[in-house]
Amino acid sequence: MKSNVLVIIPAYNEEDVIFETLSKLQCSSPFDYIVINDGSTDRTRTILSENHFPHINLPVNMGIGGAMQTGYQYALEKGYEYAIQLDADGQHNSDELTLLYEEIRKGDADMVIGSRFVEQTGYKGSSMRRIGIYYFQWVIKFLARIKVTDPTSGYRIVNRKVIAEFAHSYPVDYPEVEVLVRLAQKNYTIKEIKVNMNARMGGKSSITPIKSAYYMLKVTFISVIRSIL
Amino acid sequence: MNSVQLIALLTAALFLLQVVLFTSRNKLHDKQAFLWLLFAVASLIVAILLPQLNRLASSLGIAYLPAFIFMLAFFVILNLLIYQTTVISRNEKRLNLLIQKTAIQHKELEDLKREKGDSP
Repeated sequence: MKSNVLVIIPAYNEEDVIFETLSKLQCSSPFDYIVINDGSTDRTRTILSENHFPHINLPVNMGIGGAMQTGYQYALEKGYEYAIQLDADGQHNSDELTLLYEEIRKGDADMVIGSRFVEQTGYKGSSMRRIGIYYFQWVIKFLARIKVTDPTSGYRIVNRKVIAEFAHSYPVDYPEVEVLVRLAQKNYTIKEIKVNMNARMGGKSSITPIKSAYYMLKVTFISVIRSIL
Repeated sequence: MNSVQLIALLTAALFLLQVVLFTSRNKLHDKQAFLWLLFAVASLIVAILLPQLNRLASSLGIAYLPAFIFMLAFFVILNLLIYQTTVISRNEKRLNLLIQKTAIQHKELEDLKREKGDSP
C-alpha cells in the first residue's frame, strides 16, 4: 500500500483498451489501483497477468455493481481512506484523479463526483443519454432533495465511511443513480466538480435503447420504493 | 362422499406423500419441507371439508365451487412464488459475497506467493 487512495477499475472484455488505460494511469497517478476483471472472456485477464497489473479475477461475470463492490470490499479490508472509480474504457481522464482527491480531502463531502455538466465542458453525449441524464436529475431532486448535474457519471471518489457502506451493500446493476439517492437519504454529503471526459477508446457500450428504458424504469421504481419505506 | 371429493382426497394424499418422500430423502431443506408439508395438509383438509366449503361458497354468492377453490389456490400459489423469490434473492446475495470473498482471497494468496518467491 503506497498511498491511502485506491483507484478501482472494473473491467469486462476490455482487451482493446485496458493496456493503454493502465499505462496512462501508472504515469499520471500517484495512487494505488486495482483492476476488477469481471469474468472477461477475451484477453483482458492475460493482458493483466502478463504485465503484472494489480488485479482481482472474478470467476464469473457479476456486472458493474458486483465488480465495484468487490473493489470497495478490498479497499475496506486493506484500510484505504478513499476509493475512486475509474472506467477501463478510457472515458475518464486519469490525470484528473488528483482533482477529485483534493476536493474530498477538504472534508466537507463524503462523495465527490466528476461532472461533465457542472460547468461547460466539451462533452457531447447522444440525445438519448442527455434525456436520461435530465430525467435522473429530476428523480434525484424529487427523492433526495439534492441537485446532481451528472447523475450517471461513474467518475467518483468516496471516503472511508462510504467505502464501508458500499462494501456492505451496493446495487447489482446500474448503480450510479441508486447510490446517490441512498447516500443523500442517509445524510451523506455529495459534491460535484468539473471534469473532462473522452469518447470511448475502444470496446462498445452495452447500453441499448431497450436497456436504457429498463434502466430508467428500474432505478426509478427501486429508488421510490426504498425512499418511501 | 361423491367422486369429486374422492379424487380431491386422493390427489391431496399423493401430494402429501410426495412431500414426505422428498423430505425423507433430503431433497428439501427443513424450512422448505415444513412449508410444503403445511400446504399438503391444507390441501387434504380442503378435500375433507369439500361439502362445508361448498356451503361457504354459496353463502358468499359463488355458485361454482371450483371457482372458489381456484381463487384460494391462486392466492396461495402467488404468495408461495413471492416467498420463493425472496429465497432466491437472498441466496443470490450470498453467492455474490462468496464469489467476491473468494476472488479477494485468491489475490491475497497470489501476492503472498509472489512475496515468498521474492524473499531469499
